[in-house]
Amino acid sequence: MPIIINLDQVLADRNMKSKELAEIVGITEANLSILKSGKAKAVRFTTLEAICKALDCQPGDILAYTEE
Amino acid sequence: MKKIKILYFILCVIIIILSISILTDFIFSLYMKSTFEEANQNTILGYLTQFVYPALYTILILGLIFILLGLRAMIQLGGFNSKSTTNFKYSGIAIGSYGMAYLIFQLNFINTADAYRIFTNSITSIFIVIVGFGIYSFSEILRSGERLKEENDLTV
Repeated sequence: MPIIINLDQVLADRNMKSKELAEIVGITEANLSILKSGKAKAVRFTTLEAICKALDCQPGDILAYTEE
Repeated sequence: MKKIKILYFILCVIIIILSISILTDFIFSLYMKSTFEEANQNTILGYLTQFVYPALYTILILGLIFILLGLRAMIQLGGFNSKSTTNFKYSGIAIGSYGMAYLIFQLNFINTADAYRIFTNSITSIFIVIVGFGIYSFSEILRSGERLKEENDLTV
């Protein structure tokens, strides 16, 4: 998948745990794990918005595109 | 899901009745050889005609069993799953094959000059082929649904 999820990096920068983020965003830890592992097929705008709000970042900080 | 369970139960009963029917048919054809020889003397296959019916019904039962397995997977795993898709696909092939074989089998009676019987049986066979193709198409719909479900499950 050419889309890379940098959520772990952003979480480490903010000193926040996955469990906390999942609670704030309102998704399950399992779904957050799917997102972090890159297995997710799609991300809802509402989820992205909530993640960006919780981590005070831009979508580009979480998602990145690389050539395969 | 309740309707699927009812269909599952009805199919179970039909399969049991058909299986008993085939068994008795087969046993009778073995022990009443002369009667069947007389009844089928003008057919192309002759006495062997009696053995074609159990073979054809076995294909039909196989198709029904695959539908049963597909329905059971639906009840256990939910509407869209790979098991149901595969079973419905095989079922479509089996039932379609049964219809085609039954249609070809009608040629066996061409010498008996029972045109009405040949005609009605042929029409029935064509409908069975259509049903088989319909079940096969249904498996394709299930496959699409399975893909959509997977995408939905992996949407965060």
